[in-house]
Amino acid sequence: MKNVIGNTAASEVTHAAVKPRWCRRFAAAAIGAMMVTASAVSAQQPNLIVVTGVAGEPQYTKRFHQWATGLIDAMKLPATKVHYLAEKPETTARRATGKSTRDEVAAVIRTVAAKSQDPILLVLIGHGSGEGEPRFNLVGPDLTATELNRMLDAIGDRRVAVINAASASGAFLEPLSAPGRIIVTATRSGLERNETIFAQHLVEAFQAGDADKDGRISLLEAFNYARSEVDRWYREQNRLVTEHAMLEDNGDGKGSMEPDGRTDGAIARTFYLAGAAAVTATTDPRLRTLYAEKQALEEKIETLKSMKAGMEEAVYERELEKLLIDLSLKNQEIRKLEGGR
Amino acid sequence: MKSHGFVWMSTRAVVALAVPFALAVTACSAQLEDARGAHLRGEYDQAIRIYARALENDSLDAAAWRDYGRALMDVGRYADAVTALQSAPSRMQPEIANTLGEAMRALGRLEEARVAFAAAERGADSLSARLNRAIMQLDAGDKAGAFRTFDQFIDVYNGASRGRLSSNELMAVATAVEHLGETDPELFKDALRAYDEAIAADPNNDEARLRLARLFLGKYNGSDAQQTIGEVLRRNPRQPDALLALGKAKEFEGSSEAAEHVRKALEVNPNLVSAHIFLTRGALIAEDFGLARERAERAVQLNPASLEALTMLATVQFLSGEREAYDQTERRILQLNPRYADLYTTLAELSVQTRQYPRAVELMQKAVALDSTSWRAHGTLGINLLRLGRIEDGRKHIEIAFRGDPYNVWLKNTLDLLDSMNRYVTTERGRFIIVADPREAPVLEPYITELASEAYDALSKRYKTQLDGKVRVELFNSHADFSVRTVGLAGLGALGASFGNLLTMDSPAAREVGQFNWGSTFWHELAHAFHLHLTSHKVPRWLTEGLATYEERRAKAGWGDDLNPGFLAAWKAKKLHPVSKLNNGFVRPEYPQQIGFSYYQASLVAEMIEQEYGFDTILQMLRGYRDGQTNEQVMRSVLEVEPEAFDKKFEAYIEQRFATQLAAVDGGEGKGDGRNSGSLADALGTAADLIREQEYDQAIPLLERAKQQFPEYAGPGGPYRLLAQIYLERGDRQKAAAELEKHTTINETDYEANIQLAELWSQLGNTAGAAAALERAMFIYPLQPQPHARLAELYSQLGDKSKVLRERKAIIGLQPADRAEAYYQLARAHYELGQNAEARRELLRALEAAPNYEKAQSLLLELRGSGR
Repeated sequence: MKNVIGNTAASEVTHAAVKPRWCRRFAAAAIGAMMVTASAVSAQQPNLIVVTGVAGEPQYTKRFHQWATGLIDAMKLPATKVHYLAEKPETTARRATGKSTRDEVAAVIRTVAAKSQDPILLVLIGHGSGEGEPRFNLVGPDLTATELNRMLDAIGDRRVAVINAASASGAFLEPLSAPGRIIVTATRSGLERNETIFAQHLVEAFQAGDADKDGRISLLEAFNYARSEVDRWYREQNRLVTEHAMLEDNGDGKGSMEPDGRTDGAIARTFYLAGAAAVTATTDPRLRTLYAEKQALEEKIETLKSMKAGMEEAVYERELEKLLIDLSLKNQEIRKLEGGR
Repeated sequence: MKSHGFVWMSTRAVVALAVPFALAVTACSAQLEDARGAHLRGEYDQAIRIYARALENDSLDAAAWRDYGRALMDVGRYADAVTALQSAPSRMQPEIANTLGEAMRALGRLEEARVAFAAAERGADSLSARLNRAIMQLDAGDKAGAFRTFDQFIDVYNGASRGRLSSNELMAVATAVEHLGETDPELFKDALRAYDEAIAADPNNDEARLRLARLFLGKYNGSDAQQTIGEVLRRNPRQPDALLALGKAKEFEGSSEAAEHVRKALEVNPNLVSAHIFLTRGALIAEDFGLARERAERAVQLNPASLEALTMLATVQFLSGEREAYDQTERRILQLNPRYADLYTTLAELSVQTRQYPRAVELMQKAVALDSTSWRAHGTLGINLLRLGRIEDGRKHIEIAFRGDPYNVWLKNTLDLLDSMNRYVTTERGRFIIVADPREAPVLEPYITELASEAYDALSKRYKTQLDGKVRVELFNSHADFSVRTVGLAGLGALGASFGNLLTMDSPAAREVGQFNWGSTFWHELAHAFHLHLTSHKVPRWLTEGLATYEERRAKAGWGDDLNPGFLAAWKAKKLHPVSKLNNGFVRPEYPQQIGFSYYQASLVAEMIEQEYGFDTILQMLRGYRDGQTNEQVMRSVLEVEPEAFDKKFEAYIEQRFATQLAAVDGGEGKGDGRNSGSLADALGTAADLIREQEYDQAIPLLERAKQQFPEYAGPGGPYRLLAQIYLERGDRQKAAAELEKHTTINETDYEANIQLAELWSQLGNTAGAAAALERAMFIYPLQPQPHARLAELYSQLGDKSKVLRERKAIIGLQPADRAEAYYQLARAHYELGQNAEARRELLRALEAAPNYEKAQSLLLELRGSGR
């Protein structure tokens, strides 16, 4: 089921999408109403479909394969949930599960969708083109943005994230945009035609991208990490930046370079790529109470953060500290009851 | 052409400006054609002979007289030109008076020239004569009068509705309008068009081309200037004014060929005053005051009324400290032109060349007071105020100059840079003001503060002095910005510059990793500040560069230039200057690498002097320069040696000190198949081949021998790096680390080697060694977060809590993706130092990003529990 914008999971109250424009008294109710649905989503491991397109030169074949397998290994999914389509499967040391043709891509998407309602993460690594119909270069006919959109529409309502890490991938943003769907592109438009390095840093995000330290990597965290490291790389190399990654998940067809959860990012924040979900279901009434109290504190913190700009710094820090101390003590209590986890 | 709202006319009109003289008597046509042909080709002697003969046959050809006069002037026979033209029949005089006036003016006979120009206004050359009179008015300081006359030329052009203006008349109009450009910069475009029309009207009008080229040069357009000059030289490669113009254009692009072209000009016209002036400038820049005086005096002798020549003489006297002589020359100039601001502007510009920036500012203030519409004066004043760190004052004057001269690339670049510097962060730390890009400032500031303090204390102790006031350090993350800040134009080859208490330099982000060491660059530039301070900015270039480079080597192992095979090869090929002429290596390099070699050579001179005489001798030398002594005087009075003898002493020093290395560069015995060659290059090349073939046992002895032959060599393909590579292949980390340690304590820019070495030392348990390697790496490139994180861990192991804090701050400055972790670590570093308030603040930032971050929560509770 596609979630409406702003839905959050109970265990993600830490990252609750409490939009600043919402009135505080409504925030808790809204979040509470979404607890069950979102927690179910967050607990589901996605199905991963990685497609490496036509490389053109051996150096790119090697590079694309490295990124693809790097991503697969980092996500640590069961083999049944991983599909890797490569230009030359015979050269992938049996890592690839099929050939990266348009028909094969379509078939895998259908198959995966038919098996379960788990989210789908589709990652395209290769070369693209934004002139005319935006396309991703595959063996045989290329995959156009329109065709991909049809394939995704056909699988009905479910959480889908598409990462197009190819050159000129920004042209895929608008055609693929849909409510509840997350689109990440390595470039901001089809005019950024140079080869990209976004995928490399996306893989690295699994090591260092857990910004909120909850033990999991959300797509938003991975995106922010990769984007920031791409930027750093170009600065260090003294090169002009020829790729600007974008994330779109509010269905308006316009991506954001710095999604903050208000325009884009709210859904990506709850789409997890790796890590175990926090345990929130319990029969222990004391723990249930503590979890609820913890959630309330997290909401207060988010609300306070949303008001930061209008507060005196010293006052803000004082309030924040108080809440953080309470949260820290609460977490201590929870850990004690959970058995010293 | 526009002025007073006039519209540019697309068709040229013939203007009857003066009553045409019907005295067109022709000499023998064929002879004159021959003469003119020879003249155009630069066969001046032949042309002069033929003109003379033709005029004997027919003395009533005015054009022939003019051309004859010009041919004589082209080879510097101005007096002969005057005599010849005065000998022409009297009814010729109005027609040739303009040329006569030009010859007289070249000799400094100004009154006679004025009379001649006045007479010429009745002849065919009347417009040129009127222009010449107006220029003389300008040179005499009557700017208003001159400009009124220039203004009339616009009317001449616009009013020329019938017939055409001749090429010379168009040229006169162009020159007049060019002068008017000072009041309305748009008129420069009109001048350009008029010159183009003059050339179109007569493609043989080389004078029009030359004036056009000078206009281009005045607007810093070197390429169009050279193209235009080339058109003249293609037909006449001996044209002296063209050769001089080419020299100026080459100087503009920093070419070492400049002086050579000017010398060629003097071969054709040994009395070309402008050429002598150019060479005087060059000698002053090279700090060869003896030669500068010789040239300046010659120029003044040739034309005692030349303001430019007198200005050069005044400059020589001023920079030599001859106050009375200078005062006398200054009075002479101001008598000729009471508003001659260019005296002070030129003096200031040449003072700048010899690093006397405060003095330049004083002089420019005089210039501006004398002529508030001298855009050159305002611009030069503004630029030099910026060099003293007086940014707002400097900007004000540059803006005034730019309003008056918006085509000045230097001014525009500087104003654009000042705008972009508005976003720079300024931090005051002790004696230093650090200005850097906001993205780099948080990272660089902790490092540069520490380094600056260390460098200042060391240099202050060594030079036994303190600097006046604070030192401003500006770091530019774009090399083009650094270049503009320093010299006004992009493309400067340097890494840093010192103007005294202002240091400008590339930041690490301005260059690719491994291109330079920003730490040693800073030390070098700060050393200059001490030399300038001690000598009131009179230290010669060679010595301050030598000392500064030597100070780098003394500062930290590996810093500063090292002996390299290229230097020794140049030494052996006698392609380095003797010490007595070492300044030329910096200001007039004969080939591109000579500058770099000169830095190293000068540092060896400084090193030798300290070794043999003691550092106090160097301090004495600096005092000598402060007191106005020349190189020769300092050598005699302080080192008690003649310059030539000192040259020989230095030669002997190099030959003895580097005997082994010189032999290695030479090749030794046996060139065979390279495997038995004695040359360093052969040994290293062969070793590299063997390594590729994995023949390590054969490569190792070659590399060990290379180390013996040339222990200082740690450049590309050097033995230490190659040996490290072999030992790593063999899994011998200890030996690999030893080689890399040696390599990185010679090579100051090999970032990757330091990173690799840090990793090796860590694996081998040498924490201090690993930290030292990373510390070296930071002075090459400090803008990657991971090495800082690693260094923080190492310092934590070593118990150096302040350095841990420094590293954690640097990581924050690099805006890491994992903010929570970075702030947590910073908080912990503060906490370890007992800085609980700071720890709390950073913890809040960490938890703001990740409220459930367990480690940060624990620390927060710990802080709370400790009562703070």
